[in-house]
Amino acid sequence: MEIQYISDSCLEELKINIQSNLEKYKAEELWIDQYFGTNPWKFPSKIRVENVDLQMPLSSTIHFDYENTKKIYTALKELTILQATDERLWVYLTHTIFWKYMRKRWPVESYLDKDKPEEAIKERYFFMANRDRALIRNGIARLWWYGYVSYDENREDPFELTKVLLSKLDIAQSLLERSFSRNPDITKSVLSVLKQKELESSFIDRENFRSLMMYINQLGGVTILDTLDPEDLEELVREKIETLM
Amino acid sequence: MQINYRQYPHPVLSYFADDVIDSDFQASLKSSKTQNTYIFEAQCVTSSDGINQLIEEKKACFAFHFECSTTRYRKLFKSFDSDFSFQLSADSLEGKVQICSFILAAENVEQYSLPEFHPDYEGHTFYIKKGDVLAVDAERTFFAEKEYDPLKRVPSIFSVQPNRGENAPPFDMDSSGHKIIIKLSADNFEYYKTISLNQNLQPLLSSLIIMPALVSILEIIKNSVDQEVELEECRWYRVIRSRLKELGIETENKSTFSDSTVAVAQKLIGEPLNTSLLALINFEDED
Repeated sequence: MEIQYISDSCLEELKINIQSNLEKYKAEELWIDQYFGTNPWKFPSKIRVENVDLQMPLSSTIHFDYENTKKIYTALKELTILQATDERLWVYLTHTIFWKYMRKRWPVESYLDKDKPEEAIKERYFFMANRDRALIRNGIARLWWYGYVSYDENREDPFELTKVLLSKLDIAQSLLERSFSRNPDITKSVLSVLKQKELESSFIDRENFRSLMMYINQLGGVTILDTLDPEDLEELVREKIETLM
Repeated sequence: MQINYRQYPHPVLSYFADDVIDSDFQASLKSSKTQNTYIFEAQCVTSSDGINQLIEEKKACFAFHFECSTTRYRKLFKSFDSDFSFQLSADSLEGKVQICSFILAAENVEQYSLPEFHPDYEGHTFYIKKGDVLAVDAERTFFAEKEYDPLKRVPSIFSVQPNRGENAPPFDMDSSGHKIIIKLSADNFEYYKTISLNQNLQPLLSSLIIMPALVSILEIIKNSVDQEVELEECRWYRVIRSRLKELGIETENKSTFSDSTVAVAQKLIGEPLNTSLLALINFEDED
């Protein structure tokens, strides 16, 4: 499978015309080739990967994010950070190779009763203005970033923590939108303790998880968490969870 | 990470509070870049004997915290030496990078007390955990640029695109991204494309399309107060700011921006009015 980029100029054109293209986002078939006609809208990258068949979501709750994260991250593990933060790559993928998946997972019909459906399309099919959040909101980029922050090759199953991250959607969102999660050691420590708790059949609920996130955030204002070893971090997370439960 | 004027549960040596008196902490960072790597040379110094003692005993260390929201990069570089260097891959940064410099506790300290504490703390000790901030210097930012060239011509930060909406206005703009996108209605965009093929009419296009957009942008820059943080994220702003500087205009010093935005815009894009009018005269002569 050859991965390409959409050109800067065509990306800009597509992005400012989301509203007038709303109908196109309802189409089951690809339309981008026809839209740009003879205008050369894409250019090749040096990225070559095996074909990726994403599992089609069955509903808004049975979406196979974990399975698809494994597929996307395994196929594109060699992406550099610069490539993984390049909107042109992900916009190419959402509008071409993974169009059918995008239609199922993020159907435009579900946004039409919102005030500004074009903003929802921008969030899922493009990059939203907040670049940090954009990475975990774009329909395909998010799958790669979920893998990137949780993949741990030192574990027997390197995707063990990915499963925890995606066990409830709220965990991924609450965790990855906190700036401390940019440090993979901190993210993995939180997930690792959640995994241990799960093994002890001691599940943390949504509210307590949010309190934990707030606590780590506040703590980060006084203690520079990045200086702590994974063991220290895990201890700190475990202690807090125990006071919450 | 934004540090300014934070309250700590223990005394912290900082430039914004007097918890630790008659002492300072200064951390300087020199950077250079090879094709693939940023290399940083750090120099840290504190006049607090109490903290220096802790560093000598390896109970505290100097540290620089890097954070880049565009690439989700976040890493701490630390050392017990006051002079140290470190490097990071150029690929891991893009756009705005925040750097905070600290002296941090390298281990738990049961009874933290310094001879330089403010007299209000006399007789008090504090329990300090590993990683706690003991001293902080002013936060700084730098921009890791991949394509940014401060010498870039101003017109290169504009991109003209067709707005294919049904009731699209003839002319609109969007400056929320790295480039200023000029949105022309579909008809106008076609005319624009046709005219842009004629080299002699380029100044005319600059006058008709780039000029009004640039004036509008300069108005935003001129009239905004403490806006730096948001605008600085946009590459177009950094190009205009460096070009304005060449004209003696400092965006952070409004008194240097006394000329009208129309006059400044003409200068920034090579005074296209004169050549536009000449092009029109020549055009008429050819008829």
